[in-house]
Amino acid sequence: MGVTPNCRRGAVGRGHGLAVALLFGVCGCGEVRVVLSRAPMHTAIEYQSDQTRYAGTVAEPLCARSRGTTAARPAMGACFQTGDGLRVELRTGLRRGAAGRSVTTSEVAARLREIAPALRVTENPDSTLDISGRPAAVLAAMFAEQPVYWVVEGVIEGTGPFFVTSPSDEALEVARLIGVPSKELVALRRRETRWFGVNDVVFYSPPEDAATLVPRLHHQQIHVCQGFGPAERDRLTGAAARPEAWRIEPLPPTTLAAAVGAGLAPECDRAAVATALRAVACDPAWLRKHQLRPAHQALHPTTFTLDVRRCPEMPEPAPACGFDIVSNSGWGEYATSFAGALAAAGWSARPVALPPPEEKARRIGEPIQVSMLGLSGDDENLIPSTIQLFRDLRWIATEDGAELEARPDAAKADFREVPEEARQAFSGWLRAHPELVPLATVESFTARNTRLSGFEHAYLVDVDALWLAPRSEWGYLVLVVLGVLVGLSTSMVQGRRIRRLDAARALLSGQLRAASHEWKSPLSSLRQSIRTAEGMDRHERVRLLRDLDFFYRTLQRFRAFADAFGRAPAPEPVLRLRVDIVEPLITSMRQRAAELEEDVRIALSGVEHGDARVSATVEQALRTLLDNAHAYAGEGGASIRVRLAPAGPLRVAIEVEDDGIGIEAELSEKDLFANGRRGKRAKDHRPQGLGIGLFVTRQLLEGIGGTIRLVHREKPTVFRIEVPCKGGRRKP
Amino acid sequence: MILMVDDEPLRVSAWTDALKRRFGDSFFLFMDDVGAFVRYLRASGSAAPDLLILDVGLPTPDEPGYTERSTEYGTRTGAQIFDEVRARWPGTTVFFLTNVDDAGVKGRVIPKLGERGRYLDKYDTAPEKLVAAACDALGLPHGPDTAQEENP
Repeated sequence: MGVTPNCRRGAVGRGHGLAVALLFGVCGCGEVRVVLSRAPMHTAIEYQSDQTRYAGTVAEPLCARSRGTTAARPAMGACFQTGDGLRVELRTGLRRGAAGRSVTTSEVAARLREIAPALRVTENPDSTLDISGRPAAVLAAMFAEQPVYWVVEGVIEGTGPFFVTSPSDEALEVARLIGVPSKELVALRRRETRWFGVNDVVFYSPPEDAATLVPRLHHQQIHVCQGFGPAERDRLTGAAARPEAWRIEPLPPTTLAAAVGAGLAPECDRAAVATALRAVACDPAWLRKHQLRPAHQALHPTTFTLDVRRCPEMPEPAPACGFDIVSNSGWGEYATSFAGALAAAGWSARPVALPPPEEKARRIGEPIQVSMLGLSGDDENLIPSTIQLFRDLRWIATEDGAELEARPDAAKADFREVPEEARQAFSGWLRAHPELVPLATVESFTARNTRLSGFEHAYLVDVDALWLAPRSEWGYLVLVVLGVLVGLSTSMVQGRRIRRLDAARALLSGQLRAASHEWKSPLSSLRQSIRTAEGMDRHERVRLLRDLDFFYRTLQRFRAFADAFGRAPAPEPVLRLRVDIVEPLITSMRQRAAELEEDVRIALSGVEHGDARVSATVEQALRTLLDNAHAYAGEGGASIRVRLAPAGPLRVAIEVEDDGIGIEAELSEKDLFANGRRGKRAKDHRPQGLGIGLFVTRQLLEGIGGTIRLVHREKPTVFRIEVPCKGGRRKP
Repeated sequence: MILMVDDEPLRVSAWTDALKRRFGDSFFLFMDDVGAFVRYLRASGSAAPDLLILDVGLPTPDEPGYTERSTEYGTRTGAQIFDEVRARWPGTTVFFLTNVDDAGVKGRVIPKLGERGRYLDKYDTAPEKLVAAACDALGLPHGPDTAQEENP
C-alpha cells in the first residue's frame, strides 16, 4: 500500500477532528495497491495487478456531492498516448454516479462532446475513448517527450477548451511550469466549476522539474510516478526489475517501527532494521529468503515505502489482511504506536507518517488524523467501493458541517457488527494513550455496498487534539513549564486587574457611603426645623417633608447599594431580630407617616419567635420593604403586616404584607429584582424612584445567605425574606 | 440632670430647644466641646448626669486615651467616649442621638445601653419624642409642652 501525501491543512475539516478511519476487510491476494489521497477534495487510487500493471488516478471532487450534483462523473482509469491524442480507458463501474448506477463509456463520451465540442472523442470497442484535439494533443505531446509524468489532481472545466483547474495554486503553478499556455489557465472558481467526467489532468514533465517542484508543492495531491502506456509500461517494468536503479530514500522511522511492530526485527537494533529494510527493498533474493514480499517497487521510486507484510510462503498470496495507518498531521507517533498494537494483535499493519505541511500542524488545536485501511482484494468492485467508502470517511473528517450528511445512510447500508478483535485492538491502543481518551469519541459504521466491496467495517474516531503533543519527555516538561508560566502570568495580570477593580469599587462605594452619611446630617436637621418651624402653612410643611422624605429614602438606597457592592461580604455583628430592632423602624415609619398626613397601619406579629440571631442586613431589607409598602399604598392608606416566624433549622422568615397597589403580572420576578426596573403600575403611582430598592435588598440578603422572593403579587402583596440565624438559640 | 453632647449645636437646636423647654436650663446642660466633656468626665467630684445624650460622630478630643480613628462615616469618638462613661458613670442612662446607623457601632453599643438606654436616629427622632423618651428614662411625667408636641 502506498500513500499519496497530501497536507492541505487549511482544508481539513473544522480543525478539531481527529479521524481514525479503520477499514477492516480481508485482503486476499495482496496484489492490489491502493493509494488513497488525504486530500479533502479528491480521492486518488493507484492500483496494479499481476496481469496488468498500470497506474491510474481517480480524483473525485467530493465537493460535488455537497452541491448535490447528480451528473454522472466518470472516472479516468488510465490514459495512454495514442499518436496525437490520448486514449482514456474508462473504468466503467469504477465510479458510481450519484444516481447509484455505473457510468458507461458512451455516457462519458456524450458528456465530453457536449461540454467540449473542440475535442474529438471516439469510442472504441474495448470501452476506451480516444480523445484528440487541444489540449489533449498538448498533453499527448508532452507525454511523448518525457517518460515521467505528473499527476496533478484537478478538474477540467466543462466549457470551452480544457482548462486546468484545481483547488490548489500549486497545481496551476505546475501547469504553467510545464508549458500549458497561460491564457488557457483559468483559476478554478470552486463554487462555480462544473465538475464532470475526467477528473485528472495528466501532465508530463522532465524529472528535473519534478525534483524542483515536489518540495514546493507542499505535498499537494501531486506525486511522481513512472510513466505508463504500452511502451512505457514495458520499459518501466524492466526498470522495476533492477532495484539498483532505484533511488532509495531514507526510510522513515515509522516504517522502522512498523517493522519492529510486525516482528521483523528487534526493537533495540534500529540500525539493523534499517539495513535490513533497505536490503529488502533492493534484493529480491533476500526478500524471498526471509519470506517477505516487497511492494511498490515500481510505482514510487522517489517516495519509496515498503510494505512489511509477512509472507510465510512465497510466492503464495499475501496474508489475509493488512493496514496502512496514515498520519498526515505530524502525529506519526500515534500511527506507529497504533500499528504496533495492531501488529501485536496479529494484524499486519504499517504506519505511514506524512510530514506536516507546515509548522502549524503541530500547533495546539490541530487535529490528529490517522486513518487505517483494510482491503479485500478479491472483489472486482473493490476499487469503486473503496473510493466511495473512503470518500465518506474523508468527508466526515474534513468537511465542516457536513458530517451527518456524508455519513452512510443507515437505512440503506448493510450494517454488521464490528469485529470484536478490531474493537479490542483499538480499545487497547486507546487505553495506552490515556491522554487521548477524554478527547475521543468512537463511532462505528459500515461501508455501503459491503456485499460488493467486501468491506465490512469502518470506524471513525474523532479526537479533539486540544493540546500540544510533544515528541519526548522533555517536550512534556517544557509544555508543563510553559503552561505554568502562562498560567501564572495570566493569574498575575488578572489579579492586578481584579485588585485595581476592587480598589476602585471600594473607593467609589466608600465615597458613596461617606456622602450619604454627610448628607444625612443636614437632612435630619432640616427635617426637624421644618417640623418645628413656626408660621409655616400646614400643606407647605407636609409637601416639604415629603420631598425631604423622598430624598432621604433615596439616600438610604444609595447607602445600601454601596454596602451591597462596595465590599466583600463579611460577617456582620449579630443582632437580635427582636422588638427593639423592628419596632423602631415601624415607629419611625408611623411617625413619618403621621407627619406626612398619611395613614399607615402596621401590625407586627411573631416577634416572640424572633429570638434568633440574624444579620443586621435584615434591618436594611426590612426598611426597604416597609418603605415600599408605605410608598405604594392604595387609596385607603398603607396597611402593612410584618410576620416573623422560624423557617426551618437556623433560619428565620420575615413576611411583609401590604394591601397596596400590588405588582402587575407583566413584571416578572426577575425584572422586579433587577437593577433600575420598575413596573408600570409603580411608575404611574409614584413617578419618582430609582428602582434599586429590591435589587439592592436582594444583593444584601444574598450576601449573608438569605433570600427574598415575591410570594403574592397583589391583595395582598407579600414579600418573604429568609435569613440564616447564626448560631442563635431559637425558641420554639 | 440631663447632659447633651454634640459638636454641631445649630443642627441639634430643634432637640435642645425642646429639652430646654421641658426641663429648663437648670436641669438641661448642653456641651459642644468634646474635650471639655471628657475633662469633666474625668474630673474628680464631677456630678454624674442622670441622662447623657451623646452623639456618635464626634470629633476626637485632644485628651489622653483618644486617637483619631476615622471610618468611612467619619470618626466614631462617641462610641469610645461611651465606654469611658460606662466605666465612670455606671448609673447614668445614655441616649445616642445620631445620624450614624452602621451596624458596627450599633452592634457594639446597643447591648450595653441597658433597658432604659436608647439608640435614636436623628432623622426619625422628633424633638418631642426625645423629650418623652427622656421623661420615661428619668421617671418623670411628660410635661404639658411635650404632650402638646406629640401631635404637631
